[in-house]
Amino acid sequence: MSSSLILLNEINATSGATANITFSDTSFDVYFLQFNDVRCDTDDKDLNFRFTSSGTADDSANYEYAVYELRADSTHVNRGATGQTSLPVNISGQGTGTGEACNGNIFAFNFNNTGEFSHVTMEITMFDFVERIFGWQGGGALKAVGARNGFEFFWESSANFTSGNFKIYGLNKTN
Amino acid sequence: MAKTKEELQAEADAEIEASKPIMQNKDGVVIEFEDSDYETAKKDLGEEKWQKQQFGYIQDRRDSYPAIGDQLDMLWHAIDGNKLDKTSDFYKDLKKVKDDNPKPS
Repeated sequence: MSSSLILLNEINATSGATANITFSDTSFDVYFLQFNDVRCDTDDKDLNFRFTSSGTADDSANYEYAVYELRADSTHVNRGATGQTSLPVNISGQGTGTGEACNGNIFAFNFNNTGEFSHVTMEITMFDFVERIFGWQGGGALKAVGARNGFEFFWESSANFTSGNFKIYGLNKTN
Repeated sequence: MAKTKEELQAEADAEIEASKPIMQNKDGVVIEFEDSDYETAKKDLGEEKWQKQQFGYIQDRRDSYPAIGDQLDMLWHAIDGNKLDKTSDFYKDLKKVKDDNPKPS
């Protein structure tokens, strides 16, 4: 069996407080979101995201996550929470200096399954506002059944994007 | 003195109002927030302020503590020098981090 990535949508966020990327092709079991060079206009801001249903971000307090935060300057940390209104991409505060950007891969599961919770796995790297390197690996879920059709990323305190390329793919299976 | 959740939410509401118009990128199209987006932004900011006030010290302390290896070395020297008390660098360094990043009262 071979597989391939089918590009469904791509956006470049150079302004705005939120970046919303959706897909309309619901034939895939698994979706893959890749984002790179995501930057903010304000120092020390966290990036978060929500799932969208029919294009609208679900901000219910039903998100849960469990991740391992890897860092070069200090001890690694297990992080997790329930009853959240979004999922975090980082928690140390991204900066605006040279190279202080965030990049990552997110796999999305059950987004077309109306009878199951929606899950994601995350693999993210970033430099924070004092140029400390972080790795962020783990998973999250929206603990509410329903179909989702994309993601909405947003900065802490409604800070604005200055750059960021977001691509969403369907993970195609061919036998 | 810590603020109430309601006070922090009022601050958040005012900050979002003062920031209008806030724009969003929806599938590549940049448009202004809708009313529901503004309400979500206010709620988010109010919660951020609350979380930072109540629990921000945890992250701040974590970022400020010496590396575990350095702490163990200070502890070893304190024991080795018969100074395992409040005069040791181990105690004083960690106490300073706690004092610099107090729990909200």
